[in-house]
Amino acid sequence: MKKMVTALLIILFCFTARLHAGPLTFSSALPLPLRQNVVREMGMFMSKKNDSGAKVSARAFTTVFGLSLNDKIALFTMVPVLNKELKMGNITRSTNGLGDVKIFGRLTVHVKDDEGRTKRAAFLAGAKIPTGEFHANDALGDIPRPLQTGTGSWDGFFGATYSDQSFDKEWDSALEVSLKGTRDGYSFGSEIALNSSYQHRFLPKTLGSGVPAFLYGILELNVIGQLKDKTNGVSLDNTGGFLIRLVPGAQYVTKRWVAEAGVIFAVVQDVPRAAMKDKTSFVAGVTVNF
Amino acid sequence: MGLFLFALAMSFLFPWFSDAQIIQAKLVVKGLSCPFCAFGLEKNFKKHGVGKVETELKTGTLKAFQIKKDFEPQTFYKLVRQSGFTLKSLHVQAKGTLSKIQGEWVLMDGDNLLFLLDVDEKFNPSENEVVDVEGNVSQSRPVYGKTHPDYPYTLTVGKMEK
Repeated sequence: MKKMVTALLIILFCFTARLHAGPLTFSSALPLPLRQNVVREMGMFMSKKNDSGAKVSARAFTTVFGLSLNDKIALFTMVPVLNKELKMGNITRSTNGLGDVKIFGRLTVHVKDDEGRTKRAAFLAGAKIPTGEFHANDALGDIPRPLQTGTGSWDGFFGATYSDQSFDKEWDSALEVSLKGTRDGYSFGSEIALNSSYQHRFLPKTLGSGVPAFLYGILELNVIGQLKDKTNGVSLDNTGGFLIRLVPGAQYVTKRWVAEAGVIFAVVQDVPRAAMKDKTSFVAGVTVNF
Repeated sequence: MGLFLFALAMSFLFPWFSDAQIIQAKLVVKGLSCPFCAFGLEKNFKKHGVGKVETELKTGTLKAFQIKKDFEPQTFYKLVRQSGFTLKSLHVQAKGTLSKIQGEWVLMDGDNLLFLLDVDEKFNPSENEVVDVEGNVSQSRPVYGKTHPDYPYTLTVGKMEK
């Protein structure tokens, strides 16, 4: 169960801000103009199950705020609200509430602009703040740490992202490393994720005048490795692992807003035998310029 | 430097020549490749004194109309850069008073030297005429072997109406 919820957290924490027509599940390097404020609301719905019939479902609603300081530096804040539920036979355990807030900065280090095309590279770095509850309990006692809405620890993360966008298509790639802190003797396993996204414009078939809305089809690949959780320095055998996800989706992009949705398939799950396995998950969101 | 001091002196002598301004502009912007990108660019221009903006994504073109009176040429470059893009070309229509300073044609208003002008003699320019000019804008060409930081932009005149 722990591994399953930890894997859920992997999925949740991979939701770094993406505030443009761009990838669904990670950050792009596309510009955020000065004085343009952006808010993104993402919902994710996921579930896991094991052979014993235990099932975990989780819903995460994450609000992302983006603010540009100048043409090179942008700041982002991610505020998640989570609902997690574990069902084992007649037993149900759940937690609800604010999760751990993430703040990070993005520094653009390379720009190559052409007519109708841009290529950019950026570095990201930030921190996860332990704003979520990590000591919740119920009639059965303390709720296991992976089922809590927060981790209790300060974590740091950093990475690099590259984007190549033209009128017809976009490629994004990102490498992200998340280093997990320890709280009350417990630490979740640190992670490394390599993400790639391809977006293809299906509509309009040819560009007309003005600024038409675009309909993109999206296909993303997330490759995630996680070290084992530790409690008091001892690795927990049923945690950690390697995950490959495929995320097909669609995105409708206008000048003022973006609406998007995707389905997350875990195509490879190399996790401990007793751990729960991903079921299909769903993600949807809206981003607004103002 | 001499050109700048002369222009400054002119601004005190002829304060009533203050009707110079950029009437409209057409910018070609590099890096503009999706609808969501256009919003920030347009917002920046509207916040800085451009009343109407028309963007065409296919050509990467932004047209600016209803430009406020004291809008300076360098602001076009600054706003595009702040929006995260690159300005490829700038074509403006402007109105002002012709003046000749140390052998160089300039477009003046009462307070500012709006543009250094690259103007062909076929247009028969004459001093103190109020004209409408149209043409491409670029970083100032060297004058007497030096560029002038005080008026960094040159308008190469393609059309002139008196």
